[in-house]
Amino acid sequence: MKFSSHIAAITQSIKWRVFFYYTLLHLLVISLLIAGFHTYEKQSRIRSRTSEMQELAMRYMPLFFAPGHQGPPNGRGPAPPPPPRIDTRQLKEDVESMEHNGFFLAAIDHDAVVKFRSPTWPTSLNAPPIPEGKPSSITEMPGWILYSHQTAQQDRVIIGTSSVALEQEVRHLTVVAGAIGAAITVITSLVGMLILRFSLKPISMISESATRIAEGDFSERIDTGSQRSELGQLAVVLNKTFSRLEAAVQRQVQFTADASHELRTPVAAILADCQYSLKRERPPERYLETIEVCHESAQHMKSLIESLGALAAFDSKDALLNPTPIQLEDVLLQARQITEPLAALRSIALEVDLQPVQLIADERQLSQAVINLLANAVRFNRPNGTVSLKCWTEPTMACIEVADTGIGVPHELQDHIFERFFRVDPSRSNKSGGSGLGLAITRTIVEAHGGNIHLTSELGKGSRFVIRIPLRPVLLD
Amino acid sequence: MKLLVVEDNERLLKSLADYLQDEGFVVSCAADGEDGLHKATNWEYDLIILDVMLPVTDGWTILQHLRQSGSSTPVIMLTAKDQLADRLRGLNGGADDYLIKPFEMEELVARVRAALRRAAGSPSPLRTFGDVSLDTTNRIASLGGIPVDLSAREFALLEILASKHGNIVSRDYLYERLFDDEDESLSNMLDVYIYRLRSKLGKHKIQTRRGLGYIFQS
Repeated sequence: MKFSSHIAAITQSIKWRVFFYYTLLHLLVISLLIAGFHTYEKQSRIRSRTSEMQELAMRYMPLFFAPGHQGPPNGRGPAPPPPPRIDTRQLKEDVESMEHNGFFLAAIDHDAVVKFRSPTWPTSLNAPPIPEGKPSSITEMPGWILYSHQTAQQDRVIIGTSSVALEQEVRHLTVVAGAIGAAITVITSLVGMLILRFSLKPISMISESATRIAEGDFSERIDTGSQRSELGQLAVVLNKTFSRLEAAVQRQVQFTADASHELRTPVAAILADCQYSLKRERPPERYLETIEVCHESAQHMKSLIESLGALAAFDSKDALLNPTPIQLEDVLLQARQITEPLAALRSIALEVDLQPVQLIADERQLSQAVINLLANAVRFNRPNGTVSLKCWTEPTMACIEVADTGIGVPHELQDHIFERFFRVDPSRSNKSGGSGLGLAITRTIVEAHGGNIHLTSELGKGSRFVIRIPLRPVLLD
Repeated sequence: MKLLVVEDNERLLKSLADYLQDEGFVVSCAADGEDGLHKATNWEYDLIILDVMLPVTDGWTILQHLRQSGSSTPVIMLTAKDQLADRLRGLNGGADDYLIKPFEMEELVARVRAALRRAAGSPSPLRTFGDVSLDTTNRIASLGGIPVDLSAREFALLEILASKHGNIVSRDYLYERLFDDEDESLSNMLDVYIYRLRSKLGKHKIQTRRGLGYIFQS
């Protein structure tokens, strides 16, 4: 099992596959080279041998056959010249020295009469056939090479030699070349393996890092090494992706922690009071108090859950906007009406200054965004304060302003005020009754409309929120 | 035993106070950090229950002030923060215990009693003084092995006297730990409880030192 999985790992590994094909290709090239070398070497040796043989044949030919000898005498024409005088002693010496060099010779005239044959001529070897229309021919036979030269009268001189030694030499050379080729193959394969390992190292590093990230260690990053290589660039891109993932997960974790934090206090209040009331019998008015605690806490949790749901829907892009042409001032008047009771409860005056603005937007969502602002303006106002609601148009934008005469937001906190669960005073959650998500929801809605929201605030004097939304919808996603 | 509860959720504060009073504690309340710090530094409490997220002055600051001023009053932190870093900050800042909201009231009471026992130098919930034994967890007192029927406040009085066993306990000390600010207690209320304890446990157990207070001897 383990062995077969090792085999599978090797056969499927890019490194081993590249290595295998690379080595195979290398072997093929080396083999072809050696085969070529073998053929070339053999041919060139045969050629040099035959040129020697040709020389010998040319030298001996006139010794056996007179030049211009016209074949069989036919009684007419000039008398045939006398057969060449052979200096037999000289010839013998010559032939002996030639034979000593591994050659043998035969002279056959046109009547197939063997005029001379070296004593070393192998008995098993017959004379090659007469070459047709050519003065010379080379015949290769197993173990022998014969060179035959003939005159016009078909008198022949045949020089032969053994090719065994030549073939053996070539074979030896080929074996040596093969050994060198094998050595080169081994060395280049090893070097190739090292190069492969080196160039594929980023891949294994990427894979190791990705594994650790998959196991949950989001802080893990790939060592990018050289950023110019293709893999280095891949590593940089992956690292960027991991960073964004980590940030997203971190936000999610923080959001969940914040949400559970917000839910803890109301649940603690319910638990404490219920456990008090259930411990032993209490007067009826105390039970009523417990029910009130439960009711209030449940209301608080309900608004929190609704707000969380709204944000989660925006996060997952479930809350698609439903843009229709709207009269902004009508929507704002409705929002004012909804906030009126809360304002009256805290003796806050709600002033409006609305110009007619026609706009394409999601009426319900935009109304929610403004209600959140108005509710905050009332909650964080001073007693008998004022909240003003205005709208107007700029060349391409619809503008909504909500201003209050409340406590204001310290300058250093103004950047954070739109963050989820952010509160200027962390403990105000219970008294203000808000979920800590109102401004985050408002900003999400405004941005979904392609708009923006800005806060200008002076501590102790009040805050002023301005929403700007494009008159023509530039809806995101 | 007198406790200070500092918690800004008024509903939770009242529920906590009700429950703890029911358990025989005398409870003072503070709804913000400023009031909490003021009470904690100007009055003597046996234990402080402290929320972390408070308006004006947060729980950590109150704890820091208390410990810097040399107070060794046990402090149990209550908080909605459940991150390890927050727990460590509380405990390393000098808190004796840490409870994360929401919690079970029984657990809070048990932790309060455990912290009080540790502060008194005796971690066992069972204490014996001659033939009188006290089970501080179940609020049962026995005389010679036979349970004595005591009311919550009678038991609380006996517990305080027993914790100062062999020493004189002043009337003011007892008043503070037995009666609420709201209790329209007359000065003879204490005499009534002392009388009841004596009649149930035996006259000689609690002796009067005129002008000084009382002393519990087994």
